[in-house]
Amino acid sequence: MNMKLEELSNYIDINIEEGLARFSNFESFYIKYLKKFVEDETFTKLKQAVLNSNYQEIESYSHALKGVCGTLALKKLYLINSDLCNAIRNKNYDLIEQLFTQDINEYEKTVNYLKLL
Amino acid sequence: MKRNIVLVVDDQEINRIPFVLHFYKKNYQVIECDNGKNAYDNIVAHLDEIAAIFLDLNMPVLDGFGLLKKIKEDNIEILFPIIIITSEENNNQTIKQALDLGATDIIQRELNEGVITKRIENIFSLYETKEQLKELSENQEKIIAQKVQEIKDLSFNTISTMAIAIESRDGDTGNHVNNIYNLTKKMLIHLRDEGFEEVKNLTNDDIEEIAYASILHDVGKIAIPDNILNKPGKLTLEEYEIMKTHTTQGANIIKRIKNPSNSKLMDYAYDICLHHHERYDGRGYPEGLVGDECSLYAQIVAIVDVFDALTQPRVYKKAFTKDEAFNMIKNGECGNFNKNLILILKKVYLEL
Repeated sequence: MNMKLEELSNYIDINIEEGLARFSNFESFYIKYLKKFVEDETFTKLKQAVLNSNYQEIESYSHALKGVCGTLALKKLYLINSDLCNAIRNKNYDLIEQLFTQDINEYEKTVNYLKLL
Repeated sequence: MKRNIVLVVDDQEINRIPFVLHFYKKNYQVIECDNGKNAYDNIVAHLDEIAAIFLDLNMPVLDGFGLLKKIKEDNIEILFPIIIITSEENNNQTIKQALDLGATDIIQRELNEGVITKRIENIFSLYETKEQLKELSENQEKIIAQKVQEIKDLSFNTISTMAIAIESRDGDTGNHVNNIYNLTKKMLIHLRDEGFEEVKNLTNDDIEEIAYASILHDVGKIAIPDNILNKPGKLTLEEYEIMKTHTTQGANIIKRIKNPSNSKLMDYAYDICLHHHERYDGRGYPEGLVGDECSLYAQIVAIVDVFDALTQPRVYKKAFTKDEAFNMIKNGECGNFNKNLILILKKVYLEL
């Protein structure tokens, strides 16, 4: 089934209006980059970094994801990655597992619905 | 030429797109760069066309800080805003570092689109105003320079008219004043070009000022009675002594002229008036200065004054040729002069 853009907010935490505004109301471009997010490998790299407890990489990838999610107006994913990035910077390493669990859950849910666009 | 290029610098395509679309809608040409080095090359290639740069800080190859540092180190004059786009909310250290390196402003990626648009508009408006003020200032500078030149021309005309009027009392047609001006100027230019210590740092304006001052060298003749000034035959000793006073009389006249602009012209004129009859061996007048006790400027006017006087007809003599005049000076027939100035005089008169 093909989901329309405006329906997405019923299923995932996305601010369509904000996202469209960022893309100067070019809906086709917004949809294009939402779809591209599905194929983006940054999350896979973040996952590996967490497995390896590579804090520098965790910070780097979560920071990158924060930026992308912010641009796409994926609100919850943005916040989780922001928290993860800050946790590394503040050396609160004990929060990593909890935050990454939230991250992966939200990421998988988001990607599954974005695939329906 | 209106600046019409916007550079968007971020290694992540997704982060560049909002700015690309924003400026595409506003009919700018947008150049995307995925690292600082790429951006630097484009800055150099389009320096006069760029309207703004939107710059991420974290990039491979050359990051945002690296780009800002390179621009500073290479002394590239940036006349457009460089706006940092960051996700580093409230990171004062990052913000300060970027601003210290020359960034114009910081915009957080996560800000509401309306806020970002307004911030960009404000920054562009500021730079447009700055550009307009710069143009206005440049135009005003041109107008001021023009007016200064008009005043200088007027001053020169006034001074030379006065000098010509005074010189005409002893039969001079006005050529002597212009010749002294031209010869003095040429001597100074040659001396400067050959690196003479006393004049090697003179600017063209300085040389112009000294040449102006030289035309007042005989202003003191206004105080010499006609019967002495225009006597066709040889002066008596007493008459000669009176004639010599045109140096000190001239200097006194110059001293009494108010100099509101504090330019050096009157200082040069005073010196030249007083000392243009000094000779290198101390046998000149009024003070019998020896060698370089006399300023180089007065020495120059002394030698060119003699040269020009020899090459002009007078009531008491015919005009000598330039070669004859030079040889007379070289042979010491008209007093002793600085050997360096004699050499320069040869170069100058051969150009006439």
